[in-house]
Amino acid sequence: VVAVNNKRPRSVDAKDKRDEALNLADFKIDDILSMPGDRLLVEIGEDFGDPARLAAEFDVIAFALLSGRHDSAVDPGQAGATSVAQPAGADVGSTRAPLAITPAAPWSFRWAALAAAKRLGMPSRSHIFLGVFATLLLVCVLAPGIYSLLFQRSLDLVSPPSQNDLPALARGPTSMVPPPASVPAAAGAADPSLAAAPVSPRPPAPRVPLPAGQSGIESAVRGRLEAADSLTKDRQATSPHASATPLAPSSQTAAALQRSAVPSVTVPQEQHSPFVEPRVAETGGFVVQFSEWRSEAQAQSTFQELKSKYAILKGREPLVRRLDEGQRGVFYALQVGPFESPDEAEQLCARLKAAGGVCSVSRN
Amino acid sequence: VELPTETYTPVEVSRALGSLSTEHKTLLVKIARAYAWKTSYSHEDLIQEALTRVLEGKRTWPRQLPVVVFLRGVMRSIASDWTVEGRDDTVDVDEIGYVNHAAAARIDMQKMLVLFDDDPIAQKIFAAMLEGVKGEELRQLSGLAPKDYETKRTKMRRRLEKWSP
Repeated sequence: VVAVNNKRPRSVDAKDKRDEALNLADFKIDDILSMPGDRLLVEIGEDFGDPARLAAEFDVIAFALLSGRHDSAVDPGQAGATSVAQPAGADVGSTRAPLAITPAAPWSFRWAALAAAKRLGMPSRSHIFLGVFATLLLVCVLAPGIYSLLFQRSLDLVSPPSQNDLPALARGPTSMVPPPASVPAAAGAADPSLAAAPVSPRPPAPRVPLPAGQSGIESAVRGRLEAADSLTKDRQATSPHASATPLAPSSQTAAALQRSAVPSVTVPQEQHSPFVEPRVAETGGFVVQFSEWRSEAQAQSTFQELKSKYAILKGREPLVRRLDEGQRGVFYALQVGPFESPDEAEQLCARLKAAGGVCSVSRN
Repeated sequence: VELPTETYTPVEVSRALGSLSTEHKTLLVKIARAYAWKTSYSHEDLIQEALTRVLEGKRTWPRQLPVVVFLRGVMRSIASDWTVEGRDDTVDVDEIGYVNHAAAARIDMQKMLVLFDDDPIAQKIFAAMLEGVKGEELRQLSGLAPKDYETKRTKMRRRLEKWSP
């Protein structure tokens, strides 16, 4: 019990008080960290009415920070996936700078517009874009023919990766320790060592499918992307240059290749692409990626460890992809697959995560 | 065997932070709420400051550290600095009364002790915890078996969260 009297020391160290608060925080955090993840979310649901409430808070902060970085993996869709309405009076008076984008409900028009802005590489902060998006939407509804044309054009422009982005784009998570990117990043722009990457035909840009159970617009986008992939395959089948590209590019990069790389495909692929496919038959589709290592042997041994740890991996063979990142050296990405559909890959990754594993899904 | 570099690169950090699981994000916000308490800032400020330092490379992320453990350390360090930097380390106490931050903090602690009036063991744990006793030492002090101690700790945390996030 604290009592005010003259026998107390003449001074009280404020840091001691702070230590008390820190000790209290440590006590609580130690308990929180010892809880199973599902129990924690149940508790959050009881406290906040929504198990994803705090995750949504994090999304808002992280998105504001990462959206300005070209190597970010966050997009409005992801932020919206866990967003909920802010409780009344919550966090009033925060000293933080205003956030660039406040996540809206995933079914909202604003969310759709922001997601589209992000996908199209347009400045998502611009309110002007909302107006443009609305106008385009109206035009598309009124003229289905124009819609198809515009959408196909948009797919060609979706997140066009720079040449410097290539190694990092194809790379997934780099370790089992931190959570890897479940959503691929347009990475590499912040890595100066990648700036000297040789110009080459673009490898497939990994893209994680939109999560199931999302709004109708996501389903529509996914359908359109799959349709675009089919179109790409048709183009490759009919193109005389298609055989010079061993990798199966995603729709957008394939379209870009069709337009820009046709005259230069006589150069051997091995001299340009940082990727050396260990198994040609493994290209296409989707893969579940675990980690990256400096040596192939280490990637292989890691897979054996994972295999012994997770029964779900039994019977599966590793796919070790060599990534030459120039000055940064060579990495070996440990993957499993390929899977024909993104759902298959997502399902495996989800089961691994449920068992405590770390993985991400990307295009092969 | 050649291992990857000892710390994550900015690209890797950015990608990892952008793709945390719901559990990880929830844990980090809970941690931030706990550490931001009794500082002049919100837990959102704390998360933002921690992420900014990590993204800018001011705090490097050793590969062997899980993300939650690493960011917990960063946030703890920042929260600790905030209080110390924000006010004088030494606050005078005189006969008239000590209206200062330290006193305010201590009154809160007393109120918290009242939360466990019906539970002497919890009070014992709480008092020792404030003094900095941690982990196994704290459990042994409580006299409880490991599982019982965990149950007690969770109950205490839930009560404490009524007073602090």
